Amino acid sequence: MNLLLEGLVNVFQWEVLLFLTFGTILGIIIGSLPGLTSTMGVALMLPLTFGMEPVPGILLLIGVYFGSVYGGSLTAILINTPGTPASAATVMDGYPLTQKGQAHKALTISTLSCAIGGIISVLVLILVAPQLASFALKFSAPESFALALFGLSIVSSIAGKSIVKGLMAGTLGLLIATIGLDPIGGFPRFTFGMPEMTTGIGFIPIMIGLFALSEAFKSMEDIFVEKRVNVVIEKVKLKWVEFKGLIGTILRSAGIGTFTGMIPGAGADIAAFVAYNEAKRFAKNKDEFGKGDMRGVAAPEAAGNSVTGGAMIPLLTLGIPGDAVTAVLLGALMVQGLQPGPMLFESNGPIVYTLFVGMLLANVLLLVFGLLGIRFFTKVLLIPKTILTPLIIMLCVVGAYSLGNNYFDVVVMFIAGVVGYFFKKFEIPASPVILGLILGPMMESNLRRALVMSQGDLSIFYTRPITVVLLSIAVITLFTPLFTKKIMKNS
Amino acid sequence: MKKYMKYSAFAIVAVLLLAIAGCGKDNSDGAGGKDEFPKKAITLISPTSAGGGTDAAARALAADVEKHLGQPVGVVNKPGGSGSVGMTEGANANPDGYTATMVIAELTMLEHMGVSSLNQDQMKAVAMINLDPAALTVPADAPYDTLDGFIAYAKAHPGELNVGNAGSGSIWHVAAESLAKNAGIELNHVPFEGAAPAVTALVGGHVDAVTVSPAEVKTHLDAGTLKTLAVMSDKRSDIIPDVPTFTEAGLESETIATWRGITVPKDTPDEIVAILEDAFLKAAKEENFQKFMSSNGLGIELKSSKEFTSFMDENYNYYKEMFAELGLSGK
Amino acid sequence: MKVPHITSGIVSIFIGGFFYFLTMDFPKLNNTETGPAFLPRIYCGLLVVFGLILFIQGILDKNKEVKKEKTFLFALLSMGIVCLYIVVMPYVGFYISTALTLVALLLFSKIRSILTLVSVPVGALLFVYVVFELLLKVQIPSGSLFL
Repeated sequence: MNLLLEGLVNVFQWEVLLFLTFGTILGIIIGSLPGLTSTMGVALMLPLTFGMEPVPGILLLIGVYFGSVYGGSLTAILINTPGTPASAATVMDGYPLTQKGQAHKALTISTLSCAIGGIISVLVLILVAPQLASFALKFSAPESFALALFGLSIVSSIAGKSIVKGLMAGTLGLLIATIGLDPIGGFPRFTFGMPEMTTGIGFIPIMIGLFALSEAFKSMEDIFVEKRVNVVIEKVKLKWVEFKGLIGTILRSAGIGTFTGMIPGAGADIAAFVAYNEAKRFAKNKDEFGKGDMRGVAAPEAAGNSVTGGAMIPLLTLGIPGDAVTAVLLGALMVQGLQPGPMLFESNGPIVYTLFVGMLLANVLLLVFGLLGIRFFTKVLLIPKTILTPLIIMLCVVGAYSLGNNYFDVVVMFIAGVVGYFFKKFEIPASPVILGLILGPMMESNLRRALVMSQGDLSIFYTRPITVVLLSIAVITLFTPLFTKKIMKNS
Repeated sequence: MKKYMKYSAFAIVAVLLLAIAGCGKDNSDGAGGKDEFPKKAITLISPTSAGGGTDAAARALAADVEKHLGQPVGVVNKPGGSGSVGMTEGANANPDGYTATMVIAELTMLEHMGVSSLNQDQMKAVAMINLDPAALTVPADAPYDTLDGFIAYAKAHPGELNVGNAGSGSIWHVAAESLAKNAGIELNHVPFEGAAPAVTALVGGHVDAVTVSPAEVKTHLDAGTLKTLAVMSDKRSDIIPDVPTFTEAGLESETIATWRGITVPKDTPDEIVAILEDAFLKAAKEENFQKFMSSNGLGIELKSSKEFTSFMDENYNYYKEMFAELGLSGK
Repeated sequence: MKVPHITSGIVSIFIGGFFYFLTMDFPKLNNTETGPAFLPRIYCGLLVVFGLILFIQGILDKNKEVKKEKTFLFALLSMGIVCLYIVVMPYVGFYISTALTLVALLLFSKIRSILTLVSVPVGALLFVYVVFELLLKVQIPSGSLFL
């Protein structure tokens, strides 16, 4: 407790506050631009911190990290363009809310859920990090495979009208994910001799194309035929009663997010999808999901942002980075002479608790900037569609390019945009493709790695308790929507 | 009337942009006098994604080199294809010295892996910056404390020891295969997506050993959860000076290491290479960069343009043999 | 008859079949239990199965087909513009190609105000230049014609 107080004092210095604020705002901007990911933002800022004191340096990076995870949902909700993979799930209900004229409300929910989710995960980090970290270490190849399969099983609940079409789209995503070097043997698959394809087709260009560019094509079509699509921004504020109804969802999603963040190799994108699915599972009335349900925004947002605190758990206590962003943070900590691991808390207690307080504050800053900013963010919708749509098209191109300074990604993005347009015409849902793309590599490499480790013995999948539990949930999740649909039809 | 306005708008924008582009061209094309190199910003291609060790080293180095060149040095990430995408672009860039590439050990391996036809002959070496050898690391509570103990255990339990590496055909996979070959033991090679997940699996007790660089296990060595038995190099590692080399531990072995260096396209004039070589080597010797490398556990190994060229050639030939022997060739 | 179902079914079967055909060349690796073709083949099989189900569903559907919209050509036109934009970009550079595309798209959207036609591209490019190129150090392609 003393350490926390000391941390509080350390954080409230103008230099620290300045960098944290700067980092958070920069993070929100980076996150909201498609193609610029959290990892890229943090990596870009890394050299700046070399010459700085540990606390302001690390908190600058943490501000960028937290801010960018939040920023991605702004464009997801407003213009159907997920800024980061973490907000791919937010699109499903966030954009429909905007179309209904409730952008203001959707952004409020997103901001509140993000901040609450983030704060909960940091609290978990402060209170029980060491105990949880040892649990995260239990995750080996079979467990990660089971987790990926569980994530994939939610495809049946995000499929929309036709489950077969959803399953087809999900499988297509899985197949695209196999393009590139085979994760176990290193054999190049489906590359058609192109070196760009050996590392596979990135899912971010595909995501930008499928969601944003295809929507832009559709808007252009509406503009050409002069369908007047007047976007109304009703100044509907979130009512207290509505928020109270969301608290359960937010808390549950924060738990899911923190847990997922902890697992090495699983990040905000997966957490958001899983939380969305659980929100739907627990909801009494599921009809509004996919058409603009508030819970469909709260769940992925809370989960996505709570991954941040979760990912810090194995990083700080064991020195194990759970994903790419924390890998950069690991480097930043080490440059500052802070060696993450069991000894960190003993040798650098005051600094660690200062970082904790800083993380809490970063989430509070998100809340403040988010709520203050909503009025300005929604102004985007006042731009006439005729002008906004060409701008979105440009943003798609520059975003896909800047991802890896790669022209190939732009081509992929364009093809995905055309395909996405036909998906809309044929009423095939796009989200399952993204789900397959995100989870396909994780599932395949862990399945095959598990078999290498067990030398082909299948018992590795049914003799390990965590694996068995996760696989059972996966089966239940996959088949529940199939049966409930049958039952609903019969009754 | 409207038609005219339409066209004039077009014309205005087009003229404006051509003007802007023209200005840019004037500034950039004036590299006539080679004695004044560099005249504009230099791009350093990092063939890995933002956030990796190569990227971090490139960024740290770029920040320091600026002072010596008097021009900004911007790092651009071009990840993909085990580094082949970025390095190929670097090899095909304008040979004017304004595009340099941070090359990685894979440059001398890609051709043998069948991933790409790129090799070191398509580049001109500027300087080598870093080298990290492979090291055999096991959990701290493993029943053996020496390389001999490990080999004896592996002989008693053939094919049972799971050894994690950074992916099939990666340098750390080659290291484990060469260990197995030299010691005459049978190991079960488990590929991961990079060194970090392999180390995580070792900490979690899901594999029995890893053959990655000391830098990648340093945190866990300090925490006491892992121990390194021997280093695959002809001299001990600066990070873990107490750990013997393979040869000292009683097993003849080649140096198997990952390395990073700076190259430019093949046709770059030698005067320009000399200026770059001088600047990069100077920057790498400075405290700033040294501190960055040592705090990240990365070994500094400086080689001049000449030394680096022959080093890469040796590497190339060694891996050619090695890959054929191990049956890893993608061809 | 439901044309979307039938079309997507056929495409799905085709993709599954095509990729399955490609996996025929994949080697069997001796050091692993499952080869590189293992999962792709399962996915291909699933695509064919789902495609068949969709195809049959589409044929059996008794609802009359919904009247076809004639807006498709307009979407195709905008795709064409964007396609041209992307093809031309490596040659004339990002800034010029983007400006021309923006003006073209605005003109097709029946915007005739010169102020808009000039200010939108200039503003957008300025934004990209400041945020992406200056702040985030993204290397925007300047086009091979000007190198």
